Amino acid sequence: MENSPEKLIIDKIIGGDRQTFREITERYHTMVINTCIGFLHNRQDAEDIAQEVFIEVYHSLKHFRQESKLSTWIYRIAVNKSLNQVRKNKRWRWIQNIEDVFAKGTHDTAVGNDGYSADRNLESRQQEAVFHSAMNSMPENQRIAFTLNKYDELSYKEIAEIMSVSLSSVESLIHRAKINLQKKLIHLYEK
Amino acid sequence: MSCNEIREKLVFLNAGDLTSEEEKQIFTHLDNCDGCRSLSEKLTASWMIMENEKINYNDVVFVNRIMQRIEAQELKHKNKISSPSIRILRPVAVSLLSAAAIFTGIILGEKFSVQFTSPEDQRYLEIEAFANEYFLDELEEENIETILFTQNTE
Repeated sequence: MENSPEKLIIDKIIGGDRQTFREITERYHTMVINTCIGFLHNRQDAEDIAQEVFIEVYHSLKHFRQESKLSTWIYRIAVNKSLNQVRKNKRWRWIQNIEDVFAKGTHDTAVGNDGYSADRNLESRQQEAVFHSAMNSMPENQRIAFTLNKYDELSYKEIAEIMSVSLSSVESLIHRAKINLQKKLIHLYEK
Repeated sequence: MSCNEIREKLVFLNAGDLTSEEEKQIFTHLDNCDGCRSLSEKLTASWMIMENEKINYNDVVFVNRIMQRIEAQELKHKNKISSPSIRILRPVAVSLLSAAAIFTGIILGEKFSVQFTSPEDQRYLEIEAFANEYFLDELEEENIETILFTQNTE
C-alpha cells in the first residue's frame, strides 16, 4: 500500500490536485449515482446526494485510512448518505400524503383527458410505485446488498467488503431479498 | 412443476439465477398457464423498472457541477482565512462609527437647542412653572390609590 497507484492518487488530491480529483469523479460518478438511485428511486434526488458524496470524499480524503479500496470507501459514503436521505424522506412523507390527497382530483381529471396514452402512463407509474414500495419495505441490510448487486452490478465479494460482512452473509442477504421482493410484489399486485 | 413452485422461481428467472434446464421447464409451464404467465409478465415489468432507472453513461455536466461547487467552497474558505484583519477591524470600525454618531448627535443637539435667555422666555418659564405647580400636578397629589383609600374609609 506504501506506494500503490491509489495511494499516489490520494496524496495528489490531498495536495490540492483538482485534475486528479476530477478523474476520480469521472471514474466513479456513474456508480455513485446508480447506488443513490437504487435507494431513492428519483434521478434528481440521487444526483443531489451523489454531489454531496463527492464533496465529502474531497474534504474527507485526508482522514481516509486506506484500509480498504478507495471505491469501497466511496460506496460506503454513498450508501450512508442515501440511507440518511431515505430516513429524511420518510419523516416528511406524511406531508406528501396530505398533498396527494388534495392533488388527487386534478390528477384524475388530467388522466381522463389524455386518453389511452395517459392510461398507459398511469399504469406504468402505478407499476413503478408498487416496485418502489416493495423495495422500500425490505429490511435495510437486504436492501443494501440487493441494491449494490442489482444497480451497481457489484460482485458478492465487493459487497461483502463494503458492508463489512462475510461472503456467505451477502449470499444469504441477496437470496432473501429476492424472495422478499417477489412476495411483496405479488402481495401488492393482488391488492 | 406446480404453479406454486413456478411462482417461487419467477424472481430467480428474472435475475438470471436459474440453470437452462430450469428455465426451459418454467417457459413450458408459462406457455400453458395464463395465471402464471400474467404474474411473470408483471414481475418482469417490475424488474425492468430497475434496469431502466440505472444510468450507464458519463455525465460531464454532473462532474463539472461538482468541480464548480468545490472551487466555490475553496474560494470562500480562502477568503475567510486570508482576511483575519477584516474579522478584527469590522467590530472596531462599527464601534468607532457608533461613537462618532453619538458625538455628532451631542454637538448638533447643543448647537440647535433653544436658549431661554430673553425676558419673554423668562416670563414663559415662570408661567410654565406656575401651571405645573397649581394645575398640572394635581393628579400627582391625588393619585388613584389615595382616591380609592378615601372612598373606602368613607
